[in-house]
Amino acid sequence: MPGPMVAYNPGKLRFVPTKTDETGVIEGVVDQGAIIYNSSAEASN
Amino acid sequence: MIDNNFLCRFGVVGEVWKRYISTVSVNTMTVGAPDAVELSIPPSFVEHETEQLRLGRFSKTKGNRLGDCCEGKNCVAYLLRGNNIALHPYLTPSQQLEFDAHGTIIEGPCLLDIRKTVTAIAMLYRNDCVGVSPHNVMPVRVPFYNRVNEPGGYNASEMIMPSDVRLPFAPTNQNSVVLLSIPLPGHVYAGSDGGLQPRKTPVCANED
Repeated sequence: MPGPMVAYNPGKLRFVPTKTDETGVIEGVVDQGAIIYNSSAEASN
Repeated sequence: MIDNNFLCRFGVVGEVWKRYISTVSVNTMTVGAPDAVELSIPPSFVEHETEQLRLGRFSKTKGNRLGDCCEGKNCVAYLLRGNNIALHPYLTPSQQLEFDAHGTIIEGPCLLDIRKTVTAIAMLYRNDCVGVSPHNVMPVRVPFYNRVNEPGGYNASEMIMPSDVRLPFAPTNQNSVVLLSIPLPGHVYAGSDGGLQPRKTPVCANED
């Protein structure tokens, strides 16, 4: 394996629909939330 | 005859990726721990991946919509609460620019399905209970890697590290395309320190 990769863990992700119609979701974003490295959080620890 | 959907499910992700990672060079192409491996697989940063995880992606100039993940109805995006459509294929930064500039449609798996495939193989390897032989290796081609514990990267606790998945580089007849394959069960397993240890009998993860 050439390098690290984020593990598949849908429980850590949050889907946010941004556009819907009667059929359901048309557009949206996936919020990766706390899995993203936060340098300021690290600095405060 | 193996159809494209079958290949996709097992991590073989199409001609685009094949071309993309054809730049990878491997000095040692033997099953087992290679002595030296040189790779030129690029990093994929959070900002880029956030864009890849957006549903409803259109070419900025042509206006056409990017297709669905090649997994179709099996795309793991359906597992996200509140969602009822598949994600789009993961595009490398250069592919994204091409799509935005010319509307070039590229097929392949979405980012979540790439993560799923790699994670599944890592779990199989750790469990060491699959009947995999050199004749039925489960290939996965990894087109990028993520940064860890630095801006633009992810927390280390969320990552599969190379030391977790010491997959040998198997010989391939597909023109410089690297196949990451699982070694024979019972030969080695990943120890708690991430190193390879000898094992006499394969065991499954659910055995004590």
